Amino acid sequence: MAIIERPATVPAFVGDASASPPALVTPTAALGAFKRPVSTTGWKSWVFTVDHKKLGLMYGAVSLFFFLVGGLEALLIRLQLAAPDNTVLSADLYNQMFTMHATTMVFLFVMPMAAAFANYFLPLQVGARDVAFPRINALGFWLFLFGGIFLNTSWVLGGAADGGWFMYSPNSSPLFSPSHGIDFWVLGLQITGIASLVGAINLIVTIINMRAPGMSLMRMPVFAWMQLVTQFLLLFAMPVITVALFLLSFQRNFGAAFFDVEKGADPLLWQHLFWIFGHPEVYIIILPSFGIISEVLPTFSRKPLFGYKFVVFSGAAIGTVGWGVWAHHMFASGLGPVSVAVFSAATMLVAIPTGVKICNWTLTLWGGKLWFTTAMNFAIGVIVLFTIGGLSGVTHASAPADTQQTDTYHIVAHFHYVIVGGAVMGLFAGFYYWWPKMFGKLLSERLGKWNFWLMFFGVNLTFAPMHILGMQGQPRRMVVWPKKLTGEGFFNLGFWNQVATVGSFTIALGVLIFVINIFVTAKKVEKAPLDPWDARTLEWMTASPPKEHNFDSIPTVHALDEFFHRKYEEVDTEDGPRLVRVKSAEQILAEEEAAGDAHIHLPSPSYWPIVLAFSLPVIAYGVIFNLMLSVVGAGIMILGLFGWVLEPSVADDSDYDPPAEGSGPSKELASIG
Amino acid sequence: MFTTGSKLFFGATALSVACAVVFAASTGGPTGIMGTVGLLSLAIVFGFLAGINFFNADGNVPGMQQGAEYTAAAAQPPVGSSMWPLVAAVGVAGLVVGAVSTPVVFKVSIVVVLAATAEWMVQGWSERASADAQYNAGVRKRMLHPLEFPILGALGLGAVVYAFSRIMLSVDKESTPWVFMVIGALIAVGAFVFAGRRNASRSTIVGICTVGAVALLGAGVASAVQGQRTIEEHPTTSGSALCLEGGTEVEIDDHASQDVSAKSSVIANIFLQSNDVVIARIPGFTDPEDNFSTITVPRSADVGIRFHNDSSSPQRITARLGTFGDAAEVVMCTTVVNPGKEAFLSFKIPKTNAASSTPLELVIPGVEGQQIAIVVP
Amino acid sequence: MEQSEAMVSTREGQFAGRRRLVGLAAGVGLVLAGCAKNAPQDTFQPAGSNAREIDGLQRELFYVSGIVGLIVFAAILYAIIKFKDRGQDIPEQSHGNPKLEILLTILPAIILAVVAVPSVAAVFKLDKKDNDCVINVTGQQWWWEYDYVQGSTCGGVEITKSIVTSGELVIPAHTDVLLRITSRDVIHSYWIPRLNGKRDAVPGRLHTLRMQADQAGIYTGQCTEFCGLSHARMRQAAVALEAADFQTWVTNQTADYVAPEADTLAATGEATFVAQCSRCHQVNDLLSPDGTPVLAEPDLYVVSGAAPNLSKLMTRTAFAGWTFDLISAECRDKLWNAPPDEFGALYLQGVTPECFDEANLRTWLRNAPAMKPMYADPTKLASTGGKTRGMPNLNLTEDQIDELIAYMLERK
Repeated sequence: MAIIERPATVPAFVGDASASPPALVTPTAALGAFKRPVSTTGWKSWVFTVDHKKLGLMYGAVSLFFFLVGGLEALLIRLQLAAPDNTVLSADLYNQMFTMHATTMVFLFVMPMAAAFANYFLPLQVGARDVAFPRINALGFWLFLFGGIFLNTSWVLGGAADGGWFMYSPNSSPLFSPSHGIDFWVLGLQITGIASLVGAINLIVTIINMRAPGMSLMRMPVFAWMQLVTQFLLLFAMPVITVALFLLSFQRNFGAAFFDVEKGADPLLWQHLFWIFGHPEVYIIILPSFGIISEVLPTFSRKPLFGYKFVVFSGAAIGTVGWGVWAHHMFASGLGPVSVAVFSAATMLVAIPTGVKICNWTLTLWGGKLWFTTAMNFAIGVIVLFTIGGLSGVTHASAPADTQQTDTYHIVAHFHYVIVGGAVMGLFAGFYYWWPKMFGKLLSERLGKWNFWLMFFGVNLTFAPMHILGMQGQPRRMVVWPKKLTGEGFFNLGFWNQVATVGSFTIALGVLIFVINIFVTAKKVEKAPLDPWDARTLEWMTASPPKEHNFDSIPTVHALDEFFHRKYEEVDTEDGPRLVRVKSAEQILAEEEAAGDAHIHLPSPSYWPIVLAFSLPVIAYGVIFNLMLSVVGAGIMILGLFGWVLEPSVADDSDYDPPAEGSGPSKELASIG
Repeated sequence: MFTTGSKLFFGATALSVACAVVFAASTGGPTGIMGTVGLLSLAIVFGFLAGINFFNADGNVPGMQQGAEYTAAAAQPPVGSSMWPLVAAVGVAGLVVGAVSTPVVFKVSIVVVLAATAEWMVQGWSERASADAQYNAGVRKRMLHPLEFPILGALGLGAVVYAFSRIMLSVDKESTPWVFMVIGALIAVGAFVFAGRRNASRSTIVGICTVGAVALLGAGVASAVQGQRTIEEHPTTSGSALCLEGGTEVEIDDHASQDVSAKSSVIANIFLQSNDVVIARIPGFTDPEDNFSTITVPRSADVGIRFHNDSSSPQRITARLGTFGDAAEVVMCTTVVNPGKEAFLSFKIPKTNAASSTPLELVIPGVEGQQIAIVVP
Repeated sequence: MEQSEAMVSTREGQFAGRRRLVGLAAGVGLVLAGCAKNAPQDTFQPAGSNAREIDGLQRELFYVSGIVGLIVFAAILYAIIKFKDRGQDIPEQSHGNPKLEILLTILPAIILAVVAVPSVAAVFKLDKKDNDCVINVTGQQWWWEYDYVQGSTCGGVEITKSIVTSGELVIPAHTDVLLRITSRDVIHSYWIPRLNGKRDAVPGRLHTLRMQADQAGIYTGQCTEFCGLSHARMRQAAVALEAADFQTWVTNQTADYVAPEADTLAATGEATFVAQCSRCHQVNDLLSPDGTPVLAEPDLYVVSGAAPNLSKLMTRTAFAGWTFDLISAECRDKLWNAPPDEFGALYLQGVTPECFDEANLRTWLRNAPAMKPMYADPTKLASTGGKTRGMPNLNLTEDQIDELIAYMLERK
């Protein structure tokens, strides 16, 4: 049995040791104004938690909420486009809607949902008890939540941002967008940007420094690898967008002229800055899902990932080459033929490591023993849909072709195949795969199949026709399309617009079934088996849901897919070597518990991350409405910072309730919260 | 129980609140609000410190507690020296000096005195926080490092930037790139050395950094005292009397138009040829015979032209952009351009040339009879 | 249609795998059959050399992508059928095959090289600038202005006087026309899909785009860089005319102003125009009652500092960012579908009384911002110092509107 122990808080006794016990002035008492919270139940245990698993769940829940918000925006857009010269949305509202749809889906759903999985599973996968900087982890989550709320309050405070998520200057200047929407957008993204940045540093340090003994980098699960690449991309991409947003913010709020043509600036500066961030962002979005399906496919194929090293290095290669292709978003901007040719060729280079991944996934299936669970369905769905998205991507990597395709629905089709078909479906594979680990219950497979097929059909129904719409001349970001440009025949562009709208509702139905599935599963009493998928990696070597300290004893890693190799051994038989199951997951867990570490030290919860995070939106509201409010926000921030540095490193023993009578030594019962 | 330390802070809190009330009542307008908020913030900070102090029970251990004679902070040997009395004294002296000389010294001294007071108070309090001297030092650090590091960092960075900018402004124009490269190279070499010798002693590194910092600051101060080199104004916008004359500046900037994107997107290239004939080449009209004496410019659009001086004397190009209504004629020009060099000029003409009482044209002051007419349809 | 058959085979590449995967051949068959016929902005129906160059490249890319997609989907399909769990042993825990891996890395590299070379070649080919006509194109919220450079020749026709027009770009057919594109406010993008790809109009910069039309006809397009509120209603068209027709068009555009006959409704309309519209809209050579020229000063009233020149409004077929038709739907269909040899004559008729769609223009004059969203509410112009973006509601009376329409009908 593991014993949770905190370090002694009693200082060395000064003076005559033989004297009667002195009244000690303990260090924690010296800073007693700032006790650490100790609740293990109730809302306090969530609001002040620094546990990576709780934070991961909160990241997930909030992201899922924003997914529904972003999805609702998408449905409104598709409703507006279901008929010619439609009037569901006004032009102004439509512009806000597509801006916020993209912003919400990218910054408030896909990125934080990937962060949710990273938070929850990275420490488990590398055999750590928490992330490297638990309070910063909590700060990251609260910044994301407050940033997301701040961004969305713009809807009721004079209108949301209306410049498109790319926010091209000079259309984003106050002259052309006088509402506060873009200010909200800029400051909201700054806040969530800090969340991404501190999260990235935290996860990188965790991966580099906190892996279990024996887990060399090349024994690390692919999900952890892809997250590592993603976090490095974030680390370098977020500063770029931060700078760009500051420039825009100063232009809008303090009269700077970074993009003001009349004062000699070149508006293309913004485009370069935005896309130097924006293109790596694409890989930030997709790589975590690549990681997820690289876990799911081997598990349900019962064989290791084909070409592990190639997948890892191609992921790293994507992360590197991804920095040299930003201008392919600007082929029509008038860069001049030399830049265009160079960026066109570089863009095609990205297709090589991406192609490697697709081949490897396919070859992982090859020769396997395939088990088609919902998670597996989603993973195979990712391969298929992402391949379509990738191939249509090649058609506009070619710059001349891109001048026809860019800013049309063909591009919309392309990146939705990549983001919905690739990233989002990958996240869903993750939901179904890891749900029993997170909650101890299996999501209903029956509802899961409905969920998968509706989404799979929905994606194709929505986005496949958009290829045609774009190639036949329907541009993006149009609040209306006129009947006279739809062409003739039954299959005219109006028809395809309607099909896309039907498709979008099909996706919505799929998502609705997922939400229902969550509730149905929550009500279910039946517990999931400890190892429902016969999985391969460390996170399955602990209880479901994992204990607060993750592992009773930190496992020593001997191989890639450590868990699998503990369960199975190769035995020589008459027909040659054969894999035979030697242990069950329960046996392995029991062994680990028996060998549990005696001293497990976990970080205490803290009041201050949420206080510090709260100060930022207050400052941001102040920048928009009244600088006095910013002064108040700065006060809260200083309070948060001081609280942060002044609180004791652990909670004092006396902060906990005394143990019940006869329940053994108090240290065993003491919460590690 | 009100401890000694907390009384000080409670007093300071009350005083700040009182000041805020008085200030709010006596001063109106934005200054009043700003000042009041500032004073209230001060009150909050003092109150905060008072609260910490109050709850921490200071070192005042009740006498009846057994063993208190050993553990009470008062029973501990005195802690080491403190620099704050000295700093505070210097600050007070500075106040006096500043009061009779320059206000800057006075203001800086206020900051010094306040900083020294705060540091002194926190140090004094922390030394009595517990019986453990090491722990007490830790308490002080946790209190003050969050303030000290950012402020000292910003001050240090500011000093470096300021010193460096003074140096760059005082050395003469030809040497600036060399100075820049040498200093950069020195820093890079230093970094390499540090990185290579990880076990170099702390004092060595601190010593080198100190010498570097002192050298930079010293050079900066010296440069500031010496003053800036003469820097020429290059009139490139409207209103300059020079635009319509042929005069030249003392110093000619040949690098005035290095903007690649501007070059790639001009509406016309204007050449002053070696025979003092002015022609316009318009991108898009690719025939070499297409030497225009007229350019067409869309109204109300920001456009750029590039002037190539192929003659043998320094020249500038001047754009006479019309006289609309009662306003004066709009005139813009480039800096003087050396032979064989180029300059870039951007402008915007809001109205059609029919609305102007003077012709819209590009001229070279001093070159007679040569102009490029501007048509604004 | 030829182009839709080509689409079919391309689409097949992209979707065939999925079709088998989901076993819904019928449903996807609809997708495959699925291109609109004669969509006016179809990039698969190039009508000029530049667009044809791109189209050729585009088709090659679709074929290559389609074939690669087919192979990948076939492999996946085979794997999921063949290796389904039927109780077989757990497979060997092999970590891959480096030789195969290297092969699978080199293969896509080769395929991409095959597409990269013609792509790069086409970039430079399309950047050529030699031409027989130069036209300045200026974008602003939310319409395009064209000006034909005074003193230049366009397809052999001399431009004696600046021609400023908007919405419809009239070019000589069979001629390389170079557009010099810039913007007055935000970034726009000029796109006539059947003639060439897009080129952004960036304020402060001048970009070029070459167009050439094989035959007379009308080729529609849209602004494709998001440019704010009425981005969806910023459209344009290129009209290609045979040389003789183009000469006629130029002659008409540069012809002198013809004042309405005295005591007609149109003559009253002229006065109304001077009083209400000429602040922003220029009608060339128009004189005020005291004999001075009436010069529009849109820079005082509009953020972009420009408003469409209305000297020859009725030679165009649509207005307000080429969004609303000046001619009725039948006349429009007739014009759009006219054979090349009849097109020129039909187009040069301009807006005839029988074709005139009065309702559109009337609604517009009654309250323009209600018809096309614009920033013209006088109470909400703080950020622009009172200038509008787009045309404000002028609160004209019905009589004034009658007069203006009568006056405008003669502007051709």
